[in-house]
Amino acid sequence: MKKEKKSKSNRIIHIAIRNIRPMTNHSVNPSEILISDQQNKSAITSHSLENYQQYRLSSNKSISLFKLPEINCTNDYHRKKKTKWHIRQYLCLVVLLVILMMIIISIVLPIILIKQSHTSTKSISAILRWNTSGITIAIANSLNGPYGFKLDRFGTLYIVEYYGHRITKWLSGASNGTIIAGSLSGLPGNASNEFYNPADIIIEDNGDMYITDRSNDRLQFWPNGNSFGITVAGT
Amino acid sequence: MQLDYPTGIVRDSSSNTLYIADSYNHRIVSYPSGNIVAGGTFGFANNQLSRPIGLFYDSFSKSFIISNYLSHNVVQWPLDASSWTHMAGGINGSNGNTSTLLLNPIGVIVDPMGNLYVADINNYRIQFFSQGQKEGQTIAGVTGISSSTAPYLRSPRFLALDNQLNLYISEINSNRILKFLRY
Repeated sequence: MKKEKKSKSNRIIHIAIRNIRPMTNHSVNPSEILISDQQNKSAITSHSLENYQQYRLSSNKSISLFKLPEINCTNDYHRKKKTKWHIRQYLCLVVLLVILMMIIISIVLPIILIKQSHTSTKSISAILRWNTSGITIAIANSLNGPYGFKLDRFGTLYIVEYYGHRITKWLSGASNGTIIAGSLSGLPGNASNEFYNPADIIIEDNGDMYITDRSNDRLQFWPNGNSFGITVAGT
Repeated sequence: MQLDYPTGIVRDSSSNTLYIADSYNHRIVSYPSGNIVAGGTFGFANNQLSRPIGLFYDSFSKSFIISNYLSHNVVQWPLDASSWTHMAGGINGSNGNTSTLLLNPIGVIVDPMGNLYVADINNYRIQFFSQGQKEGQTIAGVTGISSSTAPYLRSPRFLALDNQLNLYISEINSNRILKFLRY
């Protein structure tokens, strides 16, 4: 005991154990420890687990050894010097870190900025976006199998009705179209005023129309306002 | 001039000539001259067409954009050329529902920037191909789902764009024209 006391010099204090608890949990209740040196009581209460284990090992004796935290040592003079030195070291480190950060930022920031401007000019598809839900602009009980269609600058729609065998004209916002070519009955045929599965349309500036009459294997020319078409190609 | 199921029709306003996709003859013919300007026999070679249905004339590149219904692709055939270059979809007739493939394309259109829009009818979607790109993005409809309610498409056929690039689609089996607003 004496030997140990010597080697550890002033870092060792004596304590007496009043009541030894069964060692089931690892926390130590400071109130159970009587400390010979009242000045060090506050330091003892904040003991670490390591010190506590030391206390466990020697707990069968009435006196056990505790390591004191560093603040309780007597050679304060050296300690103060050392902490000053530490502060200097820390300051140097902080300054170094700040410099390093500045260097990193000065390198990374231009890269990020260049990248951002690069992506914003590259992604042309970002400008071209469409609503994923369509708006129905032409629907009616009478509309039968819209295939080809044309839209003029006024928003008027010309729709080729593949199963309705006719061409209908829909003014912008209209809920119904008017028949401008083909049969009124909605039945197919190969007469000059009929179509059989018309598919696509070209409208001239004057309103004359060219229509591919698909199942009749012919190209129909339908002058504006006419009541019948003229076969210009095919049979 | 004989025609067999003529379908798509376009006009070159600079020469006031009409061109017709003569589908079952696998060719593009001009009106009024009656010349064959593209294709003429069925096949997957670059001088052949396979049931062309959709047709668009791109006045910027002076070429036809043609959808081949049976080879599931879209090709570009310059006016006065004797062969096409591949634009989108399968090669040698391959088809599918991935971003690079099509299943029975019909309606085709190219905007002033050269981007391609395809009505990929049996995938129930509209595919968008940025100029020169072979990988498409679905901009309308959902791949593999056929329905008359939004956001699905049931039977897209032909396409149109207005000057604000709003997209219009004809839905042959649900009897309506749909407008997809660009925003």
